Formats: sequence, C-alpha cells, structure tokens
Amino acid sequence: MARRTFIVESDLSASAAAVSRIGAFCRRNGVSGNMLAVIELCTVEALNNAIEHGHATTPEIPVEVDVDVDGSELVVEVRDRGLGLPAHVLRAAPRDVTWETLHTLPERGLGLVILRRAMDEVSYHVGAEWNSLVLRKHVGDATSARREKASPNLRTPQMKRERVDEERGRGREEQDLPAAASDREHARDHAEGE
Amino acid sequence: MRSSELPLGNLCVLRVHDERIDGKVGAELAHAIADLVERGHPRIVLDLGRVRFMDSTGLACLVGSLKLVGRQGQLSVAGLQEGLQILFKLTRMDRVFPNHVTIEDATRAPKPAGV
Repeated sequence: MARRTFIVESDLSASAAAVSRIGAFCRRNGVSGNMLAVIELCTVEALNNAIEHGHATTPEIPVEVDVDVDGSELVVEVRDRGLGLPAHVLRAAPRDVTWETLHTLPERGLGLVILRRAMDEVSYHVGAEWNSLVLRKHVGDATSARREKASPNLRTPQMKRERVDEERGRGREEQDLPAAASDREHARDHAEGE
Repeated sequence: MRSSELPLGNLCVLRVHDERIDGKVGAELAHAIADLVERGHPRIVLDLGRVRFMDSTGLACLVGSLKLVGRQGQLSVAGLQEGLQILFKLTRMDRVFPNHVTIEDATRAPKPAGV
C-alpha cells in the first residue's frame, strides 16, 4: 500500500504540475495506460474545482490531495477549506448529448460529469474544517487495460448501467457538477511508504 | 496557443501545436475558430494529434465553438490521442463532434447536408 499527500498552491496554473507528480506516483505504484490517463484527468478536475470554488476568495490556502493505492483500488481525496460546493451544482442535468440538446447544455459543469462517469464512486463531505471530495477507482486490472486498446475495463458501473439503459431505450438523468481547469504544483510531499 | 491553418479543398484544417488545452488555451482556440468562420470557412477540422491532455474547461470552449459553427457548418476533430478519446467518450461529446482518425480521412468524409 502506498499513500502520499500533495500540497498544491490554490492557483489554476499550479494544477498541471501537481497532477503530473501525482501521475508519476500512481505510475510507480502500478497504474498505467488508459487508467492512468483517467486518474490524471479526474484529479485535474477535482483539484481545479477545489481551487476555483473552494478557495476562490482564499487563494493563500493550499489544497491538499491524498493519493492512496493499495494494488486494486485507488483513492484520491481532494481537500479544501472553502465554503463547500453549493447545492445547485449537484442537481441533475440532462445526461444525453445530441445536436438537439447541445444548445441547452451548460458549458460549465463538465468537470463533475467527468468525475461521476469515470470513477466508481464519488463522494463529497462538508466538514467543520475541510471539504473533502473523494474519488475511488478499481485499478487492479490497470496493466491489462493498457494492453487492451479498446479499454473495456475502463467502463465504470455507472457507464455499464447507462449502456444497458440505452439499449433498453430508457433515458436517465445524471448529476451535473461544476467545471474545473488546468495546472502546476507547489509542493511538499509526505511519503507514507511507496 | 500555437496553431496553423491549412486549407484543404472545401475544408480548413486548424492544427493545434500545444500539448495541453485548458481553459486559457481553449479560449484562444475558440477565438481562432470564430475567426475562421468569420472568414467564410464552414467546414473546419481541428487537428488535435499533438494534444496530449485536455480538461473540461478546454472541452467547454470547443463545445462553445461547435454551437457557433452550428449545423450550417461542420466542426470536426482529427487525430485524437487516447486520453482525448476517453474525455470525448466520458462527456459524450463523441456523439456531436465528427471524429476522424487522420486528416486524410477528414478530407474523404462526405460533405454534410446544408453546408
């Protein structure tokens, strides 16, 4: 099991470098290929949300990211000390994207859609001191996923359910969350065993 | 953003030279697309073959451009690396952005109705 805490400056231009370091840590612990790309994408989105929404008025406070890899599951926890996400960003938004729905699609909010569709589990907690966004992903078959170009292993339970729903001709709604953005890190890492 | 234009028959290829597209680069890209539309290019192919990473704010800028081009024109993408393919699939943007493996494929694609 490997665990590390990354301290990231609350500046959107800091998140790319931070995620690059987080990605390197994941790679050293057996996550690779498409799975690694998904983890990096989701970490950027979560980090940028914390910077943009959590620390919009308190950029002097850094965001903390804990990454835990235990061989089969990867957990990323992003913590900020802001006011927490407003309830409206968690409300349902149209799930399907077609030419007919495109003009009604908000251009903000794609970030949390990505998290919900890519991760096995996304949870959000507002605490007295910290807000915490926790992302969980099964990565036990990450190595084989790299070999499989078609990457069927990347389908999350939600994506599989949606596919079944589509095949049955049923519509569903999914949660929409706020958007996110880019990168660079300022950093102090606490290695707790790699 | 670093990019270059390449007119190819009835379409215009806009090649992005940056490796990352975030909100800032995405906004500049959207501006470049709007400029092409204004100059009378209804069919635009974005060559994203060099782009290794795009986040949701970069993608949101492309969605804005897609709305701008509308169905009177066509905005397609080409050369998506695996990370970008995942992004387009996760957000279901693969349903509204025609996706070509190569620029050559884009030139061979049938002209959409109304363009």
